[in-house]
Amino acid sequence: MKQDKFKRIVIKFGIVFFIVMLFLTYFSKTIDNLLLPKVKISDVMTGSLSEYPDTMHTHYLLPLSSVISSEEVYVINTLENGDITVSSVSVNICGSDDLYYEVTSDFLFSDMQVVYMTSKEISDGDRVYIEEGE
Amino acid sequence: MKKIIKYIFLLLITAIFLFPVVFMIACSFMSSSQISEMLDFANGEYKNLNMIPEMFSLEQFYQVFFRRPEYLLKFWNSVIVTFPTVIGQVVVSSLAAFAFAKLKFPFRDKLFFAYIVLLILPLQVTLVPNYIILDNMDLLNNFLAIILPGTFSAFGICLLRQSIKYIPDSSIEAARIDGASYFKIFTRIILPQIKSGLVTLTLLCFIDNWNVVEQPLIYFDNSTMYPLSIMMSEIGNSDYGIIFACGVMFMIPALIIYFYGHRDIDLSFSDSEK
Repeated sequence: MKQDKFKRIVIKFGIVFFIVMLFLTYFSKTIDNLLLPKVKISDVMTGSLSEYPDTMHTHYLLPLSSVISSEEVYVINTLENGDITVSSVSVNICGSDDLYYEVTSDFLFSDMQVVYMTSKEISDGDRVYIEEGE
Repeated sequence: MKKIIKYIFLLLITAIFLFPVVFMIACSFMSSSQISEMLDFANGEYKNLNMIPEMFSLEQFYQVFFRRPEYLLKFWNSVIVTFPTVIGQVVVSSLAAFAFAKLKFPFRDKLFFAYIVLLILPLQVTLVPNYIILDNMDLLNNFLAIILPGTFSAFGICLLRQSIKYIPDSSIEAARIDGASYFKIFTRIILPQIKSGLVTLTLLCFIDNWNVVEQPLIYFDNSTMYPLSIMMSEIGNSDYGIIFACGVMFMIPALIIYFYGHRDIDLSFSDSEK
């Protein structure tokens, strides 16, 4: 009698185990993405806000919200395994208007993408999930 | 005093056998940094080899279950390879064993001798002929390449034949006189009496196929078809931490089957001792 009860428990555990494994197999990526900070990104544009641009350095225009207080921006890196991470890059602010900061940086390039909105606080090296921008 | 020494000796043996499993479970709850630090093999020894996590962490399980779904797919490859093989082998072996043990037909014993020879042959000997046959049947890169040879394995037949042999012929003859067909005799008289043998075969066959390594490597070109047993040996090259969580995941189905049938298995071994 006691043995039958134990067997029933084992069977139930087995069924639950396989159902959980099946569920995780189908939804693991979805769950992982749900747990990641969601970010919106924008391409780094070259350009200047002033009428007489400095030709010595390349100037970039970045959305106001992409530059954090310490004059840093987060740029997107895609790793070999497909993971998307962010890394911080320091920038020098040269000017701004209602929409953009004009910046210069030795570590910023025109093919990069910067984070301008995030659902959670992010730090250097964090994995993120890119949401489609508006 | 003798009894105490005996128990201490048994406890030591048990601890030695259980150590790898306990170590694996303990490591699965460590952070990846602790594991990589611990398994840093330098100057001929491991640094800080311990079994207690500095900080309890589910990071390894998170990696396996959420970040690396390929391991879950490999788990299902193992299930696809193992479960049909086990079911097939139990069905085929029990029917064949019944025939070898209780039915009379020409060359029965010689045929069974051939089966015993097949059992003695190492797996590696039959790999190449199996490969050629499977190639001709166009079954390479197909899960059936592992399922079919496993289903018709000689081991199960030999194991169950021994169990069926101990069933008295008189009960079968009585059933025949009452008009029972051989199939009815098999299902109503033989199967209930060899339950412990069937459970033992299920467990042994399950472990054999769950840990399969050689056949997938030879029969499958596509690595996405590899079962988890192969991936377990490859994970070590890239990430030590994940191997422990994968190991725990890999162990659970075998434990479930053992816990379900352990009384029957113990019974079959104790019966054979008598």
